[in-house]
This record gives sequence, C-alpha cells and structure tokens, in this order.
Amino acid sequence: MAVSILIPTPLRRYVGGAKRVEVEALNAEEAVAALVANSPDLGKQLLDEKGVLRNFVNLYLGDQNVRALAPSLAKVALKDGDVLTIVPAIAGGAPEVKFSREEILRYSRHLIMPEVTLEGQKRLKRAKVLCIGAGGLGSPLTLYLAAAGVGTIGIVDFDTLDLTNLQRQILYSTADVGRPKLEAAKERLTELNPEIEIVTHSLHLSSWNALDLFQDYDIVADGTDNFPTRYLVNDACVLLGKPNVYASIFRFEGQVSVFDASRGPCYRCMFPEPPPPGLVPSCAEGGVLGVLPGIIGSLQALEVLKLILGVGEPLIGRLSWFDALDFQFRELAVQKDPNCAVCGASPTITAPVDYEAFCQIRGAEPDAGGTNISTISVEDFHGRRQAGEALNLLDIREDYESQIVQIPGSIRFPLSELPSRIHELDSSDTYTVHCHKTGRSLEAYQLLRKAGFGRVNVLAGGIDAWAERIDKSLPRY
Amino acid sequence: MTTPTMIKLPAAVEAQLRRHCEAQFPNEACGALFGGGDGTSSPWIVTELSAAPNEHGEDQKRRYLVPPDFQLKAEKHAQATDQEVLGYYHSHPDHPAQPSEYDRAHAWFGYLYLICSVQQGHSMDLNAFTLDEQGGAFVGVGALSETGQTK
Repeated sequence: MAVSILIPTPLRRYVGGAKRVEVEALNAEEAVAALVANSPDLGKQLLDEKGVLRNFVNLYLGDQNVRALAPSLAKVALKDGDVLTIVPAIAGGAPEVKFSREEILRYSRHLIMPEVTLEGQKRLKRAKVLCIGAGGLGSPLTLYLAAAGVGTIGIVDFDTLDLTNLQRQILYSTADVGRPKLEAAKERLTELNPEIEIVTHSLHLSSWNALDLFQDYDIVADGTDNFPTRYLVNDACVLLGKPNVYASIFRFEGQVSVFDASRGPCYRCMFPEPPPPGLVPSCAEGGVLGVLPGIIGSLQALEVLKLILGVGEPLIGRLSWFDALDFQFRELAVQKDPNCAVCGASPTITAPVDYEAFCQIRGAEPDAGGTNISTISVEDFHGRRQAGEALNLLDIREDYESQIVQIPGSIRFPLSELPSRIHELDSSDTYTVHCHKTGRSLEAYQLLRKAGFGRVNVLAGGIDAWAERIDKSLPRY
Repeated sequence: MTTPTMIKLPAAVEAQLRRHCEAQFPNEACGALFGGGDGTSSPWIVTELSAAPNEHGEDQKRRYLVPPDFQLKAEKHAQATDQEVLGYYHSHPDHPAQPSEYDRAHAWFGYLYLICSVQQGHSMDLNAFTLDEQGGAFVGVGALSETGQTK
C-alpha cells in the first residue's frame, strides 16, 4: 500500500528536510520500519530497543491515535492513500521545589499557617531578592529573609565593617571589624540558614551595572542611605518592571513603602527631584537610634515576604512613616503621577541616567560639595595654617557634638544658631566651614553666601577627615 | 554552539500569549506557535498562536502537556494555511522565564520554545529558547517585537 508519513519540524533533519515521506507498507509497523530504514538516528527517536513506539512519540492514522486503535503497530492495517502523522509529545514545566526533612522542620511554623503552607514556602524558596546595602536596614532585612527561607538572596555592598557600624548593624560581630561586610554577611546568613543561596555583589551600583544585576532578581529591596542610589534603584526597577521595597531611616524616624510601577506609584512620583545637597543629612551626619533600622528593616522584610507569598495588602501607593519618639505610625497616600519622568504615560527616562549629576554631587569626595561649592581639603587647610595663614575655621556642629571632639582653634557656631548670629561674623572675612563630614557644611555655605559672604569654603570630609588624616590623636565618631 | 538566531514576535501575538498565560495562572499555560522561518537560515517569524489545554494529569501548577490531538489539529491548521508549527510556548507561574531541566529533557531540536514568567498573575519576562544540536542545552534566542525593539 502506498501511504504518506507527515514529518514534524524536529524530525525533518533525519529525512533530508522533507515534510512528507511516501512509503510502501501493509501496516503501521512496516511503515515506520520503511521510514527509518535509511536513518537509524530517526529510528532511535521513534522506537525503543524493542521496536515499540516511544511513549513521547504519538503516531496518528488520519485523525486516530494508533495507540487507541490497536495494542501494537503491526495490528494497524493500512490502505492505499492513508496518511500517518508523527506527533512528538510536547511537555515541560517549571522546576520542582523539594524540601528535605530538616527543611520541613525548619519552616514548620510557616507550613502550618493557612496563608503560607507548603505552597507558599515553595514560593519563598523559588524567590530571588536583591538587597541593596548590607548596613542598618540590610541587617534585619537579610537576616529575616534568610530565616524565612527565601531561596536566593543577593546583597550589594562594597564597604568594610568599622566600629561605628556595630551600634545598629546586627548582622555583624566585633570580630568582623575590618572585614568586607559582604564576606561577614554571607558567613553569618549561611550559618543561620545553610539551605539557601547568598549571592554577594561587591560593587558600586551604577547606571552601567544596575539593569544587568537586577535582571536576575524578582524583587529589589532598597536600603541605601543616599539619593543617587535611591533614584537609580527606582528607575532600574521601573524599567525592568520589578517591585522595589523601599525603606529609609533618620534619627528617630523611618519610612517604608512598596514601589511597583505596574500597580502603583514609583519613588519619583512621590519625589520627582532630590532635595538640595546637604539639606537631608545621612545617618553618618545626623545619627540614628540603633534600634530604629531594626524596626524599619524588619518592616521591609515583612513587605518582601508578603509580595512573594501574595498575601495581604502590600504597601503600594502608601508610605508608612514611623516616629519612634511619639511612637506613632502615620500613613501617607502616594498617588501615581501620570507625568512621572520614568513611569508616566510618556516617560523621558528610558535608560538609567547620571544620578550623581541628577543629585548634584560630584567631585573626588563622595559627599563633598556640589559643582558651585568651593571646598578645601584637610591637607590644604592644615598646610596653609602651618604656613602661618590666619584662617577662620567655623565649626557648625551642635554643642553635643563639639563635646565629643573639636579641631583646635575652631570657632563654634552651631548651624541651628547661624541665622540669628550671622551678624557676629564679618562678611568680608574668609571662612572655612566644617561639620562632622560634609553634609551640613553645604547648608551653612549656602546660608553664608546668601548673606553676602564672598569668601567661604567647605572643609571637605569635615572633622572626620581631619581626625583620620591630620591629627590621629583625635577620636572619630 | 550555533549563533543564536533572532525571532520576530508581533506585539499583538505577544499580547495574546501574555493574556493566555495570565488567565491560566496559577496553572501553566501552553500553546502552539505558527509562522515561517527555521531559526537558522532565516529568523522565526511568529504570525499566529493557538492556546492549548494543559492536559498534565498531576500538577498543572508546574507541569504542562499539550494534548497530542491538539498537536494534530495544529499540524493540519499549519498545512492548510501554508505555515509551520514553529514550536510551543508555556508559562512558568511564580518562576523565572528560564527553562527547567524537565523542559530540556522533553524538548525537541528544531522547535522554538517561548517561556513566559507569570508572577502572581502578572506576566513578566518572556524568553525564547531552542535546543542546541546535541540536545544537551537550551540556547537563548533574542526576541524581537514588531517594532524591531529587542526585548
């Protein structure tokens, strides 16, 4: 009998690319034998060692699956003009998540919650979360995510641990001082939960690497303390369609929100532009109560876990504001801005931009002045004073800081008193302003310039740089 | 490894694929891709897709099986409309759009495989793969939209 066999795409390479092969056969077994006679490789694809059709291959006679027609191919009789079609089985699926006995026990308090169950725990194990920063917020965040069984936790940081970190960064021990934070963090988190993967990214997050880095993760958790990184994380998340669980802290206050541009506003909807440099001090400048990042970072971990589990109401379109002194949580509604530069209807930002320029902080000192601010290094200042120049050094830190340490010969003029006492200074004189690092000096600089002081500059790095590089006998804080 | 070949996926077809994958969440969605090109000498051009029922008997949240009867119909449709069955798409609910070992073990050389990640009901990354000639590994192929933008 002359019959046709229709060949599907994946098998055509065995028959010279033909879509259809004509053979002479009395039954289906003979037809297949004739087909594979010149192509042993095709035979291996279709038949097992015993010559039986493999179970991931289907053969149709007309519209009938031959398996349904007869127990063996030999029993399927053919007549002239019959058409056989080979249909390769198409199957697949997502990888399976399995738990060991130990893991079942480890996560048992999750597994018995109807909102989590084994299914939710599998979601946690499959999830990939990228934490930006392994500091005050990153400590509780990564600890709780690791304990909860989040399968892949990426951490971006490049700092080494110093003694000032330990007042709040509970991920580390005193013995870790001087070590790269990532190294110590990975060690600690792996000790806590050896079943998960900790991926360390020792790098400065930048416009060049953010998209590539974020690509591999489902959720990004931003725990940075500076505006350029915050805007970069936001924009990269919007561009990639990833949720950004955001938190920030200052002294006694903390903020948390979830920015997911596909479902709500982004950080830029709330703050289209950063505040002027120096207006908002960092933790290093302004201080922070050690327990505060513990509270806020834990809330951040909570929102990450809720997003993964898909339970509850995520903090989308809402900013939660915690005031530790009053012990009050306030909630602000955040609207999506239809004109937002990155997530609006006609975005102007379609790729990461230069965030240092956007936030007006450039120069050798990472937190030194903006482009129009005149700065002087501690070395230059020291050199000129040694050479006998009479330089006015204005210490604009508050009294409680001056009590810790001072640069000899400085004039104390707390920033909070500067506006009312500015007349005590001579606007024709030259002043160098210093604070703890650089942040508040920028504010004092602007104040003095606006008041008509023509010769003002900022001591880059403040008393901290002085104690580090000029007078090592002074304590740092 | 052969040089990855590009594919063209019109925005309307992509939108249809995403809708299907989202509608089937939390189960896996699957379906056939029709069009022209072979992915080696000429790019795959997807012109049409057809949603298939997921006939996997055990766990449709992480497995799919295209019914052979559906495939036969798909082959006939391709023949009647002068197209080819280029390959198949499926979704990974709450999982990245990367082929699993199970996907690889069940894949056929020459077919185009599209995998769409659906996170909590929202379709996210959509990636295209084809098996390398030895059948040992998936090769990623760049997906192009109608407008020519690389995804």
